Amino acid sequence: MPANPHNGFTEYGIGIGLRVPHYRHILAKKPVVDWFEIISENFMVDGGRPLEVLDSILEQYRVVQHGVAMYFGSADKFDREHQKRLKRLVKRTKTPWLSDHLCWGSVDGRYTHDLLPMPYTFAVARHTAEKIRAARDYLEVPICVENVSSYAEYHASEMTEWEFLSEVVELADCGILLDVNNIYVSSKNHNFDPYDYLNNVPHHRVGQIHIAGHSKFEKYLLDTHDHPVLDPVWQMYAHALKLVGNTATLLEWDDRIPSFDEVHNEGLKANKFRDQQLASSAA
Amino acid sequence: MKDSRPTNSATNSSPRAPREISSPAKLRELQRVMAAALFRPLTPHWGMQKRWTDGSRMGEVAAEFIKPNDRLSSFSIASMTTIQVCEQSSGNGSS
Repeated sequence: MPANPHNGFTEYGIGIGLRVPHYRHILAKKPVVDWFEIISENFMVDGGRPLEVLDSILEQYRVVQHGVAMYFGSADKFDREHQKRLKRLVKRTKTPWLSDHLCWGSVDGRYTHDLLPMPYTFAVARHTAEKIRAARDYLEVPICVENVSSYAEYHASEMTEWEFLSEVVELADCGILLDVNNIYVSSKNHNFDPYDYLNNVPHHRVGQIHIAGHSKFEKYLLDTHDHPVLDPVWQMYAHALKLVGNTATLLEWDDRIPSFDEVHNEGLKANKFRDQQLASSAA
Repeated sequence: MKDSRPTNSATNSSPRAPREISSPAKLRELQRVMAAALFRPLTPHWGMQKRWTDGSRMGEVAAEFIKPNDRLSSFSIASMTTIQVCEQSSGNGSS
């Protein structure tokens, strides 16, 4: 169901990321955009231009927060100061849900600033789910965890990535931000069928979908968010919509960012698949 | 058989990865090993150092916990991740 407890029972359409190169255009031209996704950590400041821009955007647009530093999968406890700042921002934006990644990226207080893959074990799933529950209880907002693209797998893993994701979200009773491009990238890097992944996650927990472009290197794919969405990812997106319905979708474009119109038009291509899904579900 | 390798305290300068991740403590040990590898300075040619802090071959250390695939060795995968972390830290990567 597109509107579910994990996205605050909203039925948002296609959103794009709010990015600095587009600020002037958005504030001057006020384009019609269903919603913007912001990176929470860019606005967890005490004042200044970022918050000025955010407040202007909030007057006219719906905003959903996406984080990159909660590190649900880190052995470390949460950074309390980070949580407090995040909670202040959640109250400011009134985001209907909050997302962050199923990954780790810090240990003993040192941060890698990257989204590192998890070992897929039951003990790790329990630990991660406990952190997600604690975050949700403190922040008082539904949480969706995003599957990351991965380049490394561990000998210690006891299950597939999608089994791990499923285990975590069931234990945490939280939502999924289903990143279709990340599934594709990981499937090529680790030789699995991406449709096995799509078919075997709990679909009723999908609160949001990400689509994005990636880069192909000689021996691996890299989730670079600096290209249009490739055809195989669009096909996976169409399949995902059959499984989860026309759920809120966000086009990610974070590097070598083109004009606002180019990014927005890329996102709006998702409408073709959403219309097909609407037509087939009405039939 | 009991794992006789030393546990990875925060002060162990030559940590090794646990074979099983059966508890948050073991997860922390794994993350300490990876972080120690990722934070080491790169070589002048922008590559991962070939020797671990205890003199072992980095390829052997990486192979203890990272699965190779049909295209990349454990060392290559670790190396790629190290370079990515370096780029993220210097503001050249995307989220």
